[in-house]
Amino acid sequence: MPPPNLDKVKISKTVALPGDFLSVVREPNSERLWLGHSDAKIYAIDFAEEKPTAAAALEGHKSYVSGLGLIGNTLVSAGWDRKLIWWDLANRRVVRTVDAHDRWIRRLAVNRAQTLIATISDDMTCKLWDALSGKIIRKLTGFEATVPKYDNPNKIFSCAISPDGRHFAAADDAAQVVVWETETGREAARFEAPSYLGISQGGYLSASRICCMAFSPDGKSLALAGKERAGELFVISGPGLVQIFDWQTGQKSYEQKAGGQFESIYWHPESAWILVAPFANGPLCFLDPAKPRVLKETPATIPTCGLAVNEAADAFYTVGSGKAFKWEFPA
Amino acid sequence: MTMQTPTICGPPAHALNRRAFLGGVGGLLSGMAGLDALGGALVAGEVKRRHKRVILLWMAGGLSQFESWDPKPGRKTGGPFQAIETSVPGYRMSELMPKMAARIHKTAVIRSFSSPNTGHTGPTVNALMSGDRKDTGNLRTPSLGCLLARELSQPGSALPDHVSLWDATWPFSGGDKQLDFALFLGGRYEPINISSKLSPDGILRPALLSDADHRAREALREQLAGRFQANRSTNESVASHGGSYHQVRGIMDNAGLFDISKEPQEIRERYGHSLFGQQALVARRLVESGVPFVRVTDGWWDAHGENFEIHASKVPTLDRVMSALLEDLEQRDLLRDTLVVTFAEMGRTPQINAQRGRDHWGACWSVTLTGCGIKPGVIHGSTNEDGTAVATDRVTAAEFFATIFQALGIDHQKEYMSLDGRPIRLTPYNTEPVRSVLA
Repeated sequence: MPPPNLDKVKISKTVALPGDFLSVVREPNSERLWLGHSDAKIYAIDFAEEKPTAAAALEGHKSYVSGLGLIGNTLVSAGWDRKLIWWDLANRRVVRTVDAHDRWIRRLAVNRAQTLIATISDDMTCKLWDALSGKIIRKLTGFEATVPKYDNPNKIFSCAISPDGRHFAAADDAAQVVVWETETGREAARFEAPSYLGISQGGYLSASRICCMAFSPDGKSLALAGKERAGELFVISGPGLVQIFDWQTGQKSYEQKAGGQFESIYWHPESAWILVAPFANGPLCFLDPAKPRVLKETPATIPTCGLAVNEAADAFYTVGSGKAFKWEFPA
Repeated sequence: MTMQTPTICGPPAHALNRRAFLGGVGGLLSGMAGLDALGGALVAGEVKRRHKRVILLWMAGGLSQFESWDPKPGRKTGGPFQAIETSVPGYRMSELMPKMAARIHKTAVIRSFSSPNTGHTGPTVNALMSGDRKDTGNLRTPSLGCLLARELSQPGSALPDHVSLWDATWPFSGGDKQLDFALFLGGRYEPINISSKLSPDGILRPALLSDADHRAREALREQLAGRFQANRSTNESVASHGGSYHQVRGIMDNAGLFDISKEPQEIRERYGHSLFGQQALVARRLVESGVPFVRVTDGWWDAHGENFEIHASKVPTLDRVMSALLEDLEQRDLLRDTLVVTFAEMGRTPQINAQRGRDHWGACWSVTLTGCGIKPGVIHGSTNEDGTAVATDRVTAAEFFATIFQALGIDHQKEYMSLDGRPIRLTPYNTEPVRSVLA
């Protein structure tokens, strides 16, 4: 089957709902999405339907639903209410609720084997959880509580688990990137990505940051995406920045700028492209991982908060402010 | 809704009278070495009996009332943060402000402030800063800070009457002029602006100029100015101009006021390392020494995008600095004669926009008053469930300013004369203060 023609990419279906879709996960081999919303509910959308709609399906969180993951037929959700909730999707009921962190949970990641869940939080810890039992495996620390030299509370915005599940990476507001071994909790690497450090002159604003990250298919590189250090004020319009590092040495091998603050990233399993989606004004960008260049960009149309791609990487879904889209590459 | 607790804070006045030793204001100002060497608290105790002063914590850009004083968790306008219990039963604040929540029984919160202004600069901001007055033509009213500097200034004081500490975020050319304008009161009551640092530029005498030469020049200037002023004795502006020069010498003699390294490490840690915190500590040193009005600006709150990230970063700093300042003033027995105000151009919209931001909003937001003349623990007024309108006890800028004047013992209906002889009251005719928050 020939690779999709990036020049043909377009939105094929749209679902609208007031508020923000903040997180998304797709059921394997289907077009069924689960979406975490700013109204604290979890919605379901089946894009296989001719006229898909968003149906409120699961209610249990009390604040933003910021992360979702699938463990078989169990959905795990993370929220700014500090909770992790396991949901039995067949019966639409809560399996367990865990008070997971002391502050807001920003993101959730699941390894490919669906045995491990990772969470990051403003309590400045990362936690690894047994996906089936919900028991905590270990707490990972190593970030400062405040942005060094200043009083701003530090934050961990992004995380990723390597394709082989052996490593977990996270980055903080001070542009520190830490990689741990999931099996032992040992810190395997640490480096700084200073282009994302957004401390302003007075030290009171953090305008730039690493918003998302993805390991390369071989697990050797780590792509960071977000917003480059810009002006004095907290402005959210670009410039967007993608950098790739050899995470074991901290050496930067790649840099590409584009409009918008990239909130979501996907690295094609055969490295055909890297897709980044912006939260701020700016386009969706398909980047060439082999050398810094934009292969294709197209208007994102909304501030995007989440991204899901199907198995064949010939369709994907973006979700964000007021809408969820299905994108395709028609022949 | 008005809630209050009966608690009134403040330790007993210091028993030791050092007035004779200090020899009046001039003696006090003869060197900050005195303030530090003698013990700040003792001197503060003396100063507090002489006059009152104000620290205005200016939330530049517009702090969100939802993420601070008037949260609406669980509502569509509420955003992601939760509300927490406070030391005033029944009143809940944003979880981002735990320190202030624990001591809010010592502060009065007005949740029903309302103003037509929704801009950072321009005529409506001018109007806001003079009490939302509809001035026309040449009949303009000085701004709150300049009026308070004038009202609270001490005759013969060599210190500035009005100091304004800014950060780098005030983005508009001449933005300070939008907020502070003395007009006919004269230059003495205009602020000394200190931007992005802790002390004014040029307050040290150049090495090439001897102190004797400097004093001789000042004497010559005074002689010439006195001749000019002789037939203009009733003109406030001319008198104020001369006063400004007098204060230059005072500032030079008291450069140490701006040096927070003289503070104990424990105090400095309490305020933290942010510029806002350090400037707040300078503000405390200034009011402690007798400066009547100090503005400390914290910015930039203008969260049109990512409102919750901005507030998650900034509100904890506000919480730390404000609670540290109030505690420090209280421990020095300065709070009874120092009014600490939080205010801004505007609040932020209930509606959350597509970039998770909140925009400009004047219809209902929150301000606070702590200290001098204020009944502690009062939560005045309320907004509706979604924070989209005042539900009870609306407070206008004129009423808010009248409350400030009254709290400081100033008749808010006092009249000034403009340069063309027209009467201007401190607040518009028939304005009433918010009596429920007055002690």
